[in-house]
Amino acid sequence: MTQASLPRGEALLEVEGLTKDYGPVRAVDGLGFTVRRGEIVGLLGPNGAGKSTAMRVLVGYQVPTAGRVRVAGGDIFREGARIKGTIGYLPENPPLYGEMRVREYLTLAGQLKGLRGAALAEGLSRAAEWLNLEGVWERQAAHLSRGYRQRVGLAQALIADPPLLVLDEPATGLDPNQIADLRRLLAEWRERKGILLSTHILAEALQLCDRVLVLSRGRLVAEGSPQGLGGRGRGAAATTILARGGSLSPLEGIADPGALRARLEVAAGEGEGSEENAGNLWRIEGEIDGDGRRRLLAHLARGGWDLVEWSAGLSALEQAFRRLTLEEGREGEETR
Amino acid sequence: MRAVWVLASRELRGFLRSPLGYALLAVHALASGLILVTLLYLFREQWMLSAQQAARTLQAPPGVSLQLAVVMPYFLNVASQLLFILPFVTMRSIAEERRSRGLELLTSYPLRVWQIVLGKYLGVLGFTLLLWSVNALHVVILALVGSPAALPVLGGLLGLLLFAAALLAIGLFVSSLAMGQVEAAVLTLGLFLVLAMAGGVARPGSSWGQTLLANLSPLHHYSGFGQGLLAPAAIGYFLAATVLFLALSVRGVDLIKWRG
Repeated sequence: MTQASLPRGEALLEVEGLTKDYGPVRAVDGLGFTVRRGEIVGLLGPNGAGKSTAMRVLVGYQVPTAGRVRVAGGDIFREGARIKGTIGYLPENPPLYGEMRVREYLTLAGQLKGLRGAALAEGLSRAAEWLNLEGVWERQAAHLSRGYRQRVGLAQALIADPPLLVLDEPATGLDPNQIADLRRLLAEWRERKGILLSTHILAEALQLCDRVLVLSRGRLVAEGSPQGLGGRGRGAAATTILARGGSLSPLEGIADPGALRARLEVAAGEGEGSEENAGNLWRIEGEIDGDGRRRLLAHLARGGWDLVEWSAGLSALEQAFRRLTLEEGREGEETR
Repeated sequence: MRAVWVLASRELRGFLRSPLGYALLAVHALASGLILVTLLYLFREQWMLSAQQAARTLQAPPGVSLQLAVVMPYFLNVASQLLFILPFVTMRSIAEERRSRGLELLTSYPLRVWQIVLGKYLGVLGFTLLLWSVNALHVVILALVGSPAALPVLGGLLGLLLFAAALLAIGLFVSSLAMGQVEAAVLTLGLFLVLAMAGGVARPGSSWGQTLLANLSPLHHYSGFGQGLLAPAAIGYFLAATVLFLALSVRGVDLIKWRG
């Protein structure tokens, strides 16, 4: 995605040529991007790609070796204390003070972010409501489950309702219901905030992010919409379908079967539970994109096929991610 | 400054809600109490021996000084005891925050590094005031059972506070450099012991080098307080050491931001 096609929002985070060295190791190498109000940007990359290091620099914990970070128009290293109030940061595995109750911990976070009186009370109540923390409000942080620890970590990031959220692996430790809640909340906040999140869960990036940045060995190797990046893969997900029905191939009569192939898996009356097998069981395999998937489903429905199983392999984004990060890894090995 | 108090209050509450805080308080109270009881027992023995000798020689018993026999050694022994306790007070302050990534979160808040360091410092100082209050209580007991001179007693208490304040700043600095709390405690204890031993190298006629080394020692400067000598040089030494090591602690945290 080009800068021109970015959502029209105020630039909340501007990163230019960000480089961070740890001794001889270059953890982040010339990273540059912008996060605007109204968009969710995903930082993708394999373990050790430099996502967490980049985030630590962005929130002012680490000083970069080179480059510039501007948050809400101010330089994070020159005007740090003033502009850090505009950032809500969730580190990976949020550090909580075990002896403190959730209420006390969030009060502490709010006070340290400059909230007091009615604003603090409002921040606490908003955070508790958004993250469903009422049930553990008086529980000691040391006795919280992983999921609740993550939620309390998110709550401290949100308590002052900052315009920019920087979230390092926000879905870590959450169960599927909590992940669904988080997705819903992020989608709600998107309207008013700019959100940068790191993740290695590609489905999360696909569903949530307007743009993704793929990091490999500290370098930005791709940037664009998840769908656009998916196009850099083979364009389709490997799919396997089991369908029961007639003796003719289920692909018979479909306009454009593309890379799909069908073969008879079990003939009617054969195999386990054969008395109940009223039709032939066909296996359809191949790579199929979104349009092809819709056409195939419509075709099978029209033909009265009974869909027994549908499994998708690597998505287009996953394929692109693997290709980009593995290629970069190999190039890195070769240049050593 | 409000953020500093908020951080200090959290640090102090951390001690009051942890077994470590109560263990340190118990060890300090027990050891200080034993020192006081032992000194009072020795004082009584000394007084009785002196009275018996006087009776044998049919002379009036010479005065045995409570100040020399109890007050001075009490404060010196308690100060030495703090050398072993305070490393466990400061060990967690920054090193543990760093290990648990709490420091990462704190530095993402709208706070300056000096506010974080000062908040931590005031928190550990607050806890040390609780330790110190045990010694203040002992002084009250001493005043009830005897009649110690006021100046050495009050000087000893003030000196103990200044001594502890400087050691806490040194401990905080070591904690800002250490990778974990155990490392911080061991290094701080080692440094305290070296500084304490440095105080013993100066003798009358010592070289300037030995005198300089002795002057680096907090114990060397502290020894006069229990005698009621409130030397401006000693007070200046403790205040300067506190400010210097707090400033170095700020630099230590800055270094973490560079090193990672």
